[in-house]
Amino acid sequence: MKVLEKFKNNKVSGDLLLPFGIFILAFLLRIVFINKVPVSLNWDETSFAYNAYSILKTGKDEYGNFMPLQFKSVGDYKAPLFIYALVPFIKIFGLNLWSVRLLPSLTSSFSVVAFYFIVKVLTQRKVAFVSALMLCFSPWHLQFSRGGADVGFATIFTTAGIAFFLYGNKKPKLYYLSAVFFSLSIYSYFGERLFVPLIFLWLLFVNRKQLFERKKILLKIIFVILIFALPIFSSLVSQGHQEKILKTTVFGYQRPGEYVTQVQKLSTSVLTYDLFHSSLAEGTFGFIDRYLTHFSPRFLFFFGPSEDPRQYIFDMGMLYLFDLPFIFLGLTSLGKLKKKNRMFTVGWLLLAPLPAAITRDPVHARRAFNMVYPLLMLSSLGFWESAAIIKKQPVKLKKLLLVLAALVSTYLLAFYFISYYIYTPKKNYKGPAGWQWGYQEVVNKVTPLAAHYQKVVVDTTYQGPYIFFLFFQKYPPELYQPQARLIQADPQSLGEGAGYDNYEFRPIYWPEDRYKSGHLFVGPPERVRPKDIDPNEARVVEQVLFPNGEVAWLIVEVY
Amino acid sequence: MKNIITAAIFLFILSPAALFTLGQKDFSPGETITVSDRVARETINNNRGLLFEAGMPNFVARLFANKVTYRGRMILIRIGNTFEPHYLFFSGAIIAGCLYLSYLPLMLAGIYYLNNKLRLLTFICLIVSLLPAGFIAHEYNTFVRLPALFILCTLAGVGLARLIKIKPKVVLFLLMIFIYEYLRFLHDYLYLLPAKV
Repeated sequence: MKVLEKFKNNKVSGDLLLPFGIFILAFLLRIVFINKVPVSLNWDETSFAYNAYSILKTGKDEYGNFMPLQFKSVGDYKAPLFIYALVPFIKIFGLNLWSVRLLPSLTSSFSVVAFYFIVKVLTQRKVAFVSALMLCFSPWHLQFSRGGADVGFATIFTTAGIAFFLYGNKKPKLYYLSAVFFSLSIYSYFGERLFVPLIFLWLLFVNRKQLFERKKILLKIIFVILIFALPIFSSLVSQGHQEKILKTTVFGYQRPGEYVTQVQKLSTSVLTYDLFHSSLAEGTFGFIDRYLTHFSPRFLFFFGPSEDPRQYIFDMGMLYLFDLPFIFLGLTSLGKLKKKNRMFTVGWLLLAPLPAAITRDPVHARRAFNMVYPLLMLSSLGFWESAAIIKKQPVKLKKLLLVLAALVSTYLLAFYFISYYIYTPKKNYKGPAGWQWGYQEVVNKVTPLAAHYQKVVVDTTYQGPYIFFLFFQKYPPELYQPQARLIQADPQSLGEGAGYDNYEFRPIYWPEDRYKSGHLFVGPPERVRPKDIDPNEARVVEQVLFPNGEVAWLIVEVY
Repeated sequence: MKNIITAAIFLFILSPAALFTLGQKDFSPGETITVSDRVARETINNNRGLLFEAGMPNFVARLFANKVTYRGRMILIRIGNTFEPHYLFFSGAIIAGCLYLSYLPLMLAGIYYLNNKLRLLTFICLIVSLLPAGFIAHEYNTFVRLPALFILCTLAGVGLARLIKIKPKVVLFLLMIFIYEYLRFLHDYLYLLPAKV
C-alpha cells in the first residue's frame, strides 16, 4: 500500500517507469515456455504462418491471390493484418513456432500498457496499476496472448484506439491516432468489425459535449477512418465474407426441419407459432441467452468455454474466484467515477459480448475477449474499495483479513499456473477441437518416405493436415499455389486442402483403400484399424504416439 | 414495504418455477453429494498423478488435489448455478426459465436502488438460502432453489416499486414483455410440454 501511495503523486514513475515495468512483467508471462504450452501449433497458427510465408516469398497467398485483403485459408477467410504483420517475423526467425507466437505475445503485452492508461484516465493511477497487474496475470488474457491467436494481435489496436480517444479529450491531435488504430483493428480480427464501430459510436456519444465543440476535428476523424477503412469495404461485401458470416453466425443457421414441423403441429394456430416459435422469436431468445451466458458464473469463474478445449483452462473460469467479490464491490463504487467515465465503462462491458452472442456457440471466450478489460477495471475498483473497508477494521481483524486474502489469492493464482502449465496441456492436446498435437511428428516421419510411393494419402479426421505438411516441410509457396484447391463438403463448412505433388488429403476408407498398391496411408487408428491390416496386403511402417502412449497416427504402406 | 412484498409474491407466483415446480408431485430434493465417491477419488488421484509426473513434491500435490477443494468447488458451482442465465431465464422450468426475462431489469433496478446495508443483507440471505442447493447432487434442482428465487422476486419487487414512480413508461414496456412471456409459457406448458418438444 505504501509503495503504491508513493507512486500516486510521482508523474515520472507513473507515466514511464510503471508502464515499462508492467510491459516487462506482461511480456515475461506471455513468452515463458511458449514453445511448450500450448503443446503444439494448431491449424489456425500454421495457416497464418504459411500464408505469411507465402506473402514473403511471392507476394501472394496460398491460392495465388496477390496481396489479398482476406485470406481464404480453409474457407474461414481470415482477416489480413495479422498475416502481413507476421511477414517480418518469419523473415527474421524463419517459418517456425516462435515466429507465429512471438508477435501476439508482444502486442498483447503492449495492450496491457494501453489498458493501464485507459483506466488511469477513467479513474486514478492506483486503480490503473492494479488493473494492469490483474491483466498481466489474467487467465483470459494469457490464454489468447500465448499461442498465435489473431485476437491477441488485434487487441492492441482496440485498446490503443480507446486510450488515444480518451486522451484526445485533453490533446485533440490524439483523436487521429485513435482513428488510425480503430481502423487497423478492423483488418486484424473478425470480431472487431462489430465491436469497434459500436465502441467508437459509444465513445462519441459519451463525449458528445466535447466533440460538439470540436466539430471540425470530429469530421476529420471520420474522414481518417473512412480513408483507412475504405480498402476493407470491398471485402466486407465479398462472397468470402458472406460465407464467413453464414458459417459462424446465427444468420446462416437453419433450425432442423423435423423440429419446426413438430412445433408447428403442436401450436394451437399459425398465429401462436409465428408469435412464440417463429425463427425470429426463437432467434431473439437464443441471442439473449448467448449474450447473458457470457456473464454466467460457470463461464467466468468455474469452467470457461469448456466445450472448446483450445479456449479453456482445466477447472477454471476466465477470471479468478477472488475477482467475484471485487467485481461486485467495483460495481457499487462506480458511482464515485465521473458520469461519462461510468457510462463508458458500463457501455464497454455491455457491448463486449456482442460479437460472441451473434455466433452459434453458447459461449466464446475469444470473440468476447473485450469483456476482460472492463471486468478487471471493476475488479480493481473493488480491490481498492475492499482495501478501504479493511483499513477501517480493528488491527487484529485487519491483520487476519489481510493474511486470509493473501493466502486465498496466492492459492488461486498458483492453481491457475498449475492448471495452465500442467493439467490443461495433458487434457487438450488431442484432435481437431484440441491443439492437434502430433502433426509435426507425422510430417517428420512421412516426408523422407514420400518419394518412394505413388501416392501418400493423409486422413483428414484431425482436420487441416495439408497446412501442417506445407508448414513443417516449408514447401515453396510458388510450387503450391498452382496446385492449391480447397475441398468443402458444403459452403457452410470449413474445407481441406486437396493436396500437392503426390500428397492427397482426404478421409481414408480402408475397405477400398487397402487395395491401392504403391500407396502410403497416414491416419489415426480409427481410420486405419490395426486389426484390418492384412499382412499380405499392407504393413505398418511407422507410428506416432500421443504423449500418453496411445497411438495417434499409423503410417501404413500397401504393397 | 407492503407494495414491495405484494409485488414480490405476485411476481413469484406467476413465475414458471413456482407454477411448474409446485405442480409436481414429487418434492424430494434428490441425492446429496457425498464426501467420497468413485468419481471424486479418481479425479483427485488423476490430478495428483499429473502433478507428481511434473515433479511436484507430495505436499504440493495434496494441497492442490484433495477432497476439501474438490467438494468445496462442487458446492460453489451448485450455488453459482442458480445465477446461470440459461437456467434462470431459459431452461430452469424445462420449457422456460425459472423467472421471466422481464424480471431481469427489475432485479437490476432493485439492486441499484437498495442501500449498501440492504444489499449486503440481501446477499447474505441469498447465500444462506442457497446452502442446501450446494449439497444436492442434481446441479439444477429448482425445488431447493425456490427460497432464493423468491428473494430474487423480492429484488424485482423493489425495482418495480421504484421504477413505477420514476419511469412508468419503462414499467409499461416491461409489462408488455411480461405478458408476452407469460402467454408463451402457458402455450408451451399446455401444448408443447406434454409432447416434450
